[in-house]
Amino acid sequence: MSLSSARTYEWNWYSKPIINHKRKQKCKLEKCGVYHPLKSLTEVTSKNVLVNDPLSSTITYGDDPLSRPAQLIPADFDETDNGCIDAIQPWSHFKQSILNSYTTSEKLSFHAFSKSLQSATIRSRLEELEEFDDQMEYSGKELYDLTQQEFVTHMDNLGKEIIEAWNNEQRVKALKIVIQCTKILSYTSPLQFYPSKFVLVTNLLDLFGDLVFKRLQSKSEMIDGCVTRLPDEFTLDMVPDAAKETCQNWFFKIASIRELIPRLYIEAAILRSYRFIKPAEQNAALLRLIKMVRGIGNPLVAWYVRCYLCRIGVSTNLSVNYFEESFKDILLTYKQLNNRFVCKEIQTQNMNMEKFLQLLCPALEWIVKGLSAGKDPHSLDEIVRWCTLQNLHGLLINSIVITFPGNYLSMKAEYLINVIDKWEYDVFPQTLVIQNLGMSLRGHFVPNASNVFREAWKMVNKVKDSERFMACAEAWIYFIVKHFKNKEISVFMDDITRHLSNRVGIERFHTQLHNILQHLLNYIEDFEDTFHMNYLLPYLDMFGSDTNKSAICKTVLEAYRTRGENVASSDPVINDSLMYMCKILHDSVDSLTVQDEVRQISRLIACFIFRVDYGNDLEKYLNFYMEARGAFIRLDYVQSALVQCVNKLMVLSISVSRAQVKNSFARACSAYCYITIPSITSPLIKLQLYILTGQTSLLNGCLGQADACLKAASIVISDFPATLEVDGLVINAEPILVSYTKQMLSILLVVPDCPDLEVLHQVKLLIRAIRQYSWTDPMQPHMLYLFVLDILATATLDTYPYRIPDVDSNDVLYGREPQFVADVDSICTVVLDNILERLYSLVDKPNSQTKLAFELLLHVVVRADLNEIQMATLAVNLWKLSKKNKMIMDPKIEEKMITYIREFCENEEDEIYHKFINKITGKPIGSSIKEQ
Amino acid sequence: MAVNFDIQLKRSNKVYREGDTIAGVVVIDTSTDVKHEGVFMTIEGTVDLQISAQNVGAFDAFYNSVKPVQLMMCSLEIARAGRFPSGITEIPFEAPVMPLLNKVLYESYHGVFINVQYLLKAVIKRNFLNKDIHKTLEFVVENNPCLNMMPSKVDKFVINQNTLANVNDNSNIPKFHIVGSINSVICSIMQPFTGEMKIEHSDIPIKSIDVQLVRVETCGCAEGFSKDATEIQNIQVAEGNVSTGISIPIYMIFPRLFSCSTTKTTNFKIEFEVNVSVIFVDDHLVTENFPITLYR
Repeated sequence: MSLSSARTYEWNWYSKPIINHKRKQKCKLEKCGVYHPLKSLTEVTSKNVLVNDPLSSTITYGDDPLSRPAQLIPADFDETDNGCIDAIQPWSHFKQSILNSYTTSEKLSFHAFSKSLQSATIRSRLEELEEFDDQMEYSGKELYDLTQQEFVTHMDNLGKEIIEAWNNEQRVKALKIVIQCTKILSYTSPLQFYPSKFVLVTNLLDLFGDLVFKRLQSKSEMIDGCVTRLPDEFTLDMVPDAAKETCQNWFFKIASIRELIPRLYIEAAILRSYRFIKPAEQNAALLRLIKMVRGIGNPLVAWYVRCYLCRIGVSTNLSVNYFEESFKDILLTYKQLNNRFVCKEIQTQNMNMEKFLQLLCPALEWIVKGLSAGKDPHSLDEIVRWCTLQNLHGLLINSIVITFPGNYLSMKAEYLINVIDKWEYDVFPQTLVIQNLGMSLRGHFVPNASNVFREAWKMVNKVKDSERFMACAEAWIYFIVKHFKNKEISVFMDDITRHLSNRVGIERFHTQLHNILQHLLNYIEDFEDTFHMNYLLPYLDMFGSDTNKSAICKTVLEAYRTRGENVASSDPVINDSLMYMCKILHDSVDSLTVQDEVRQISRLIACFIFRVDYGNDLEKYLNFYMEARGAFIRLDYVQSALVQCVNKLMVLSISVSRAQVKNSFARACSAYCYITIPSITSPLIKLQLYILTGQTSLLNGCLGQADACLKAASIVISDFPATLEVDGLVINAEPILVSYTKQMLSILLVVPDCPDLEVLHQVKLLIRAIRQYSWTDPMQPHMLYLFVLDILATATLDTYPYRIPDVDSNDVLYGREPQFVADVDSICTVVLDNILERLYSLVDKPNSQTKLAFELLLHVVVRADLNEIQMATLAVNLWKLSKKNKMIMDPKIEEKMITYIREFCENEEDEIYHKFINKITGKPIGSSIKEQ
Repeated sequence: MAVNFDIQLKRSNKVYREGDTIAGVVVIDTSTDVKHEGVFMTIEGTVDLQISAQNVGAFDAFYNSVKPVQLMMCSLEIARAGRFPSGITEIPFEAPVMPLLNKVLYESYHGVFINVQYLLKAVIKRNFLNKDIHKTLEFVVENNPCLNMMPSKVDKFVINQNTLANVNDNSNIPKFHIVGSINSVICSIMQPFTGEMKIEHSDIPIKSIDVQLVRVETCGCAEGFSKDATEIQNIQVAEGNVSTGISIPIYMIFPRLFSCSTTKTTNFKIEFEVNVSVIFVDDHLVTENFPITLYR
């Protein structure tokens, strides 16, 4: 009999008539062994302790390591620097910060030295003159009206020019360029730009020093025409006379430079090359140069020269105490700062003393830093004493506060605060020093902290300038959080709020306010109490509009998520304020918000929702969820989280008590879910939630609600999209859909039929949904049909393998009534027919055909009653069909399946099964069916 | 047809003392064979004296330029007439550094009116069709280092409004007081010139402090002497209004070519002085002069 004769309903389905014990035994889970993954779940269901539902638990705990933001990992501030010499900050760091902070908008002038150095504005005018006067090229001419950018570009070009001249054997020209550049450092105007100018010029000097050294080195490596490698730690006798002579010449040449400042700088730049003639001279020369700096009248120029000399000292690794010498000279000439001539110069450049002093800071800081590195507390004491002996020592104390090791400062904090407090006439701003002290004390434990802070804060509070006030507040928050409890913190925060309230332009301070709060939340000792404090909401109010507030709310909630596990989540005040912040955060989401941002915000809000705790008062929970649903309507993630919560609530309601009242509560919950789910956009989540709600409703005996949810789930399946986007990846939706469909099938088994509707209407709906869905893989629905056959066959058993307590499933309702069995069989027939049609259409694809035929054979043998002639014939035909293309199936799998069939059949009592098995395992096929 | 002709000395610094042997090679680099009539070298040391116009008038100066004094003269034939093959040919030479009879080898010195110069002059003689090829190289002669240390002599100085020499009215000069010391006015030419100075007080700000090295050249001839002081170099030791009450180092290295040991002969004298000058912002200048003796 060939398949081509298959017509509608030719093969009627017959379910197994008798349920024998042996079969039942087989259906039990025990067969699968103890470790069956499904087993534990089923047990949980049967015992009704669904408290730690794995679905909800993963989201509840906010400590997912992946989502924890990096900045919240506490840094090791307490790790003190070891105080060794390499603690000297590398110059390159310093350089950049100077370049960034000292800029000018003023025009610069420049004693030009080379042709390419004209400002764009005057170039055209000079060009004609220039053309015929090429040899005048290197006569010094002054350049005016350079912008800062032009100036920087010039310096870059000069660097290139030096290298070019050097490589063209025009070394004297290179030297001349360097001298010209260094002369720039004699002119202090514009003052504001001087530190940056210093950095730019010293870059060139370093370059030049390097060129000289390398040249001498390569000269030393040429001995009698052969190249030998000069070791890094070479000694004098390895240097040939010619190289010595050249080196000596360089120093003679530089010694004859008339101007003091270029001579100083350039000798320092090539100081390293003394190694070729007289290594010991390096130390002596450096000390001499440091002394020579005394001849520079302008303190700004002089201090920066000292800074450069110390830098050279560090880079050439000299043993003399150049830091100390420089610092002592600074102290000796310290009164120069208040010299009336200096003051006059500052005034003519439109600058005030306070700003001028701050220009000196980088150089001084670098020197003091080097001086203090690796010193024991006793010698540091000595340095502090030197400084305090000076009049108007604000600048010095400031450098000390910035550069000294934190653990020393923390011991001395009280003393220093008192010193600072005593200033009366010092122009150096007290608050700046206090601010820097606050920064330096960060992460260190300070004895007598309350005194220190009281005194410091007293001074800060006197300040009217909000910028300074806020800078101090920002600097001291670390100290406060480390040393104090909530009482002091709340005073501190109140002070900030009071200071800033009623001021215009608070917006300027938003970042600072933000940083303060963020640090406070991240490091405060007893986080839980933060939310009891009254300062929080007024503090938030300083951010003005809701859009500004949202960022800070996010910070608060972020901190709450990571640290707030123990916050009393039943306190209405706390919950209210958190809710308030969540609302602000939620309202900040609009269509322009980045998706990742939306996800973060959703997580934060969901975390809050999960943490809210009303104990056993389920009604209160539901009310809260109701409110939350209204408040966070824009966030799908939150909505789905709410549905999860309510589902959990439903399950809890069972375990709390079994009274009838609870049933109405469960209905309310179920209704809540049913209403909420449609507002979610993602079909996958919708499907999950519908299925989940259906299950929990069933658990509570809310049959109508369960019915509605499962029906909705079927509709979702039929409209399911072909692809899903998960975390930015587009994935094929079908495998997901298949697994959910299978899950639904197994749930549907225990759903009792509605008396008003036809038999197994839910299953029918699902079959319809499967058919309606546009599958990309045409095989897929038929594979699913096979499972439908399974579930339908199981539905005809007299006792279902699993059940829900207190809910009567179809096995009890129908009691295997013949009409019911017939109805089910007719559904099976339709499904089977569908599969067979497909099988027929697969003629040209033997591969798929064989597979499907074999699968169907399995289902037919296991599920159908072979005593019926139709079924038996079908089975045999399927066997033949699957055998037709022998080579296609994997022999191992085939063998296993056949073994399974054989075992199954051997366990059956009916004779037909034995016959069948005989048939397929070797006996001639032709006769056996006829024998029946 | 080009011939590159060069003299290379063995000592890279080209410094020789009396009694040394000057040795080196002449290098002939040619692309073709070259015929020559011999290579000769003269080693010559002379003192050129010039009378400055200031002292005796331009006309006299022109006439009375003093004849150069020869200190050293030595001729060598370093190659016989022959032929140089193409490529590089090196011919070594050697000669003692010795003065002529009754003469002294003075140190090399390049000044304005006095020049003490030592030259190696090499020539490739060629037949009348070709020009001779000349090459000249200067070398330096230094005195032997003084073995017995010269005594150092500290010179302390004070400058204030009262020490000024060429002012008529002391009353309207602003008050200032500068003290200092020169570590030694008898200096080794190899060692830097050092000292220090301290501004105790100054009513008007200082613009700059310079140390000036001056040579004093004296030429003698039948008509008399001429004495001229000219600046060699100027080294700034302070720039801007320096802090008071702190000693500022004075430090200067003697230049190599333009200075030599203090030399006094019957015909000429080479002497040196140092001026320390303080320039105030109103461009007034106060100078203190220190005659110094240089030795090697």
